[in-house]
Amino acid sequence: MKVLVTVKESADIADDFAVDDDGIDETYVEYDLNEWDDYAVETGVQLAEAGIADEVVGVTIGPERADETIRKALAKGVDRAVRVWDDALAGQDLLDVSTKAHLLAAVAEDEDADLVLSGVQASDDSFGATGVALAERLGYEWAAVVSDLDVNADAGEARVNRELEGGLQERLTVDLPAVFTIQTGINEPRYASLRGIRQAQSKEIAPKTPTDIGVET
Amino acid sequence: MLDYLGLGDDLTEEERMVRDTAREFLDEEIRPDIGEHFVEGTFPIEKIPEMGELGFYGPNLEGYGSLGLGERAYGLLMEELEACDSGMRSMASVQGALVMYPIHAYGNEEQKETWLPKLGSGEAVGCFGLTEPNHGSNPSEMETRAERDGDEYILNGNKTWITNSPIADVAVVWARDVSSEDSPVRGFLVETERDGVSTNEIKEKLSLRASITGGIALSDARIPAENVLPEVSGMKGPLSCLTQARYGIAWGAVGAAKDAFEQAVEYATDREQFGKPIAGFQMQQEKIAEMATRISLAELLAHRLAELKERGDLRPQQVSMAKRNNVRMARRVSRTAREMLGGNGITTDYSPMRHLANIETVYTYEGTHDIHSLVLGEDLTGIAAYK
Amino acid sequence: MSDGDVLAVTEHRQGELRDVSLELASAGRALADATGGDLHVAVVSGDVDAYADELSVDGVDAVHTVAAGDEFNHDVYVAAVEALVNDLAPTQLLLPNSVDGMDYAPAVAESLDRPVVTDAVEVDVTDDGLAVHREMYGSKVETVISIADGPFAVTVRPGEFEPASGTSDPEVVAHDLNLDLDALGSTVEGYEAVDTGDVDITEADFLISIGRGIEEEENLELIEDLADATGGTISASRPIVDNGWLEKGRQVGQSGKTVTPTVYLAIGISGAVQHVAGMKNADMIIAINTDPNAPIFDISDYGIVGDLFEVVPALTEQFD
Repeated sequence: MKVLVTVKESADIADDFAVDDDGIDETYVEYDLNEWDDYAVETGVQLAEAGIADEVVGVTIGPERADETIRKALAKGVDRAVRVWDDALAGQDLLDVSTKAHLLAAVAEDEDADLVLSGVQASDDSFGATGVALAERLGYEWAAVVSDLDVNADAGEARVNRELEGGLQERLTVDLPAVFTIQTGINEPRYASLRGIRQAQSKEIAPKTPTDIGVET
Repeated sequence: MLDYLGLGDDLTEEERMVRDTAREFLDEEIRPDIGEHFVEGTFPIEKIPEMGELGFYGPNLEGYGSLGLGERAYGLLMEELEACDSGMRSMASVQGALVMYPIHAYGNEEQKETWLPKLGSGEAVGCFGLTEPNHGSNPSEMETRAERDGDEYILNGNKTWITNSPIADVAVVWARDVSSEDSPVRGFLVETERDGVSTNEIKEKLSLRASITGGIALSDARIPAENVLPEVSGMKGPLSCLTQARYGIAWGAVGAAKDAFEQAVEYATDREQFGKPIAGFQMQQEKIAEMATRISLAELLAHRLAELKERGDLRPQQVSMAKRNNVRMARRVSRTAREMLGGNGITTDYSPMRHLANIETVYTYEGTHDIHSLVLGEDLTGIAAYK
Repeated sequence: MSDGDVLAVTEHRQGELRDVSLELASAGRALADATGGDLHVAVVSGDVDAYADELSVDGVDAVHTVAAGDEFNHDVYVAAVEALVNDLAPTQLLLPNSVDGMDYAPAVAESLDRPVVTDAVEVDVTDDGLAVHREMYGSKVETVISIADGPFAVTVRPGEFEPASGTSDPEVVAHDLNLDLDALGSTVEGYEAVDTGDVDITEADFLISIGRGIEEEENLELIEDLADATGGTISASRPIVDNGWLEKGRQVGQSGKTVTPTVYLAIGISGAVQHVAGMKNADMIIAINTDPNAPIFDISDYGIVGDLFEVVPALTEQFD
């Protein structure tokens, strides 16, 4: 099966930042792979290592700068990646959930992904909505806030735990194809090894515009 | 860490990623306990395989499971390791530059295939036996002997100041092959479990405490003749290894100094006396300015070395210059940083004094500071002072 | 139905209406007042009639019930909410930003083609439409997102709005949902409680709670010393439990326990919303953090800006 992992470059701000009318001064901002996505990447790579996933593809929406973030996912074992961006997207302050879901859905359809993994939320904007909106857009099944995942590709289903409030877990069976939003703590994300970093340099990050994937923005 | 000249901006993405992954690993897995290891005189042995999986041993070698990583990226790795502790960098230096490198450069196909993947992954640990109790700066007078006996060599002698000898699976032992004409120095791969091979640990160190140091005693140790490194004969063998290791030291010293610097600046901007942060006093500012300048110059030297090494033009004397300068720099900077921390600076809560103590070892190992002066002196005048 | 109507969708679990339901009712009432509309409240699955009684609180104009299955299932919720929205055409759709809310609200919004803003901590009606306040960067920054007039969906952070109270006599409307419950793409098999160990932090009067600031496992000793000296009980924020340094039963927050001790001492905890959700109703909150901008100080009664490695031993000494 083919697994698509959505990754996002997430901004972190220094403790003593300053805010002006334009927002937070860039000097206080650092970008890194979103913490939740790191767990989603690990989930995808472990599926590949277990022989369940044939290919793990990363997808991000972001400017060229985001290549460095997605390269980190490639170094951890994602096979190749797609990065969607154009000037129109760059002109928007905040990408709304629906736009993100449309773009990611177009990539997922393009890739014919059987399983989409995303982080529960981004550590910067904390929207926590893209994965489920994407599932709806794709007509896939889904589960949000997944803390345990056992994919049975032959049966076309997955057994998952959702982490509810108050230390309660919900056990459920979900038909594939599906989108899962992955919660931290589901696994232990690996460090990028030097071998992985070397290999990542020759892995493809395909830049695409929304038009390329058939989305009007 | 300090990057006053913006050298980080000119790194390739791959180089940055190597630096960042090393930093992340060390921050999360090693730094929290390194002070305790230093106090206890232990090395985080359980992390040796994980460091191997991450590719920290000999990544700049080609083939046999190694990665062919660029020399600058390799240097940055050494910088990060030593910013954590010299013991961490020493582990990687010995494994990569002093054990894997000679097998890679001078070993036969079978030796490479047997040892390089295992050493690279950390499944096996290696050590490097050159220095002897009575022969440090002049190793060519070594007393360790190898005598041919049929299909075997019989080794006798003592080696000391050997990083990792007590935990090593294999030692690259340099000995005089007395069965050959002129008794040339040759390299022997000695498995430490062989009869006649024993290792001891040197415990009472006041420096490089988070590192395992010992000796190797060879008493009629018999090794198969095929364990000799076939492609090198003479002092060029061990000395070429040391050039590799010193290249890593030149980078590592920058890391130790930067770490000490960062702690000193953080402390000085936080610590208030006489109603303001001590960093607001001119004497502290002069120290900070001086440290940053020295670190930046040393860093430039390391980067230049990487360029020369990458294109194959690096001369051992240039490495001597960088090792000599950068270690001296790190010694001064860590001392100044310790001083700025006052009493707090003498505890394991802060890194500068640990770096300072470590650097005392680095100052005199892999060629003492003074010997490197003589190497440069000879190179610049044509007159060898030590002959 | 008039323009400006609000539909708030409540939630329940294992036979109990969850707190956020009444909070949604009060948030919805405020919005309906500002726009001159009615407040409709919906409850889906379970014993809807009993829930409808509980939801007959001040300000609720109508309760809509959809009896379908027992517990939350997102396919059921999506279908039910879509049907209700199509039926009632509310301008504003309010949903909980709970774990279950996160599991269906984005799908409903996407399917209805309504813009969605999640995790609102405050919602104001302005001349231009709606101003939704939410937090970013782990609660370090509050931002306001403006949505122009028109139908939209907002999810509301649990615990941010006063729960509605009182009683009223709203119209209760039962809706049928044409959905084959056996043909859903996801099936809830059951629940399991995470092993909580032998300590019940929800019963403790004095909780000493630690977060990322503790840096490493062995530093827990400092906290244990303080707990010994004061008789306090140790709890933690999520990262500590994720690291395996303390058992899951000691986790305070959204995915852990909700606690209401007399005193809650937060040490090295930045105060991310997920944590705050579990402890903000403590009688007294005291925080120790090096970062003066840490959001934990926003809800603390007393705050110490300082290094826990200095403050905690000093505290312990005072009690010893």
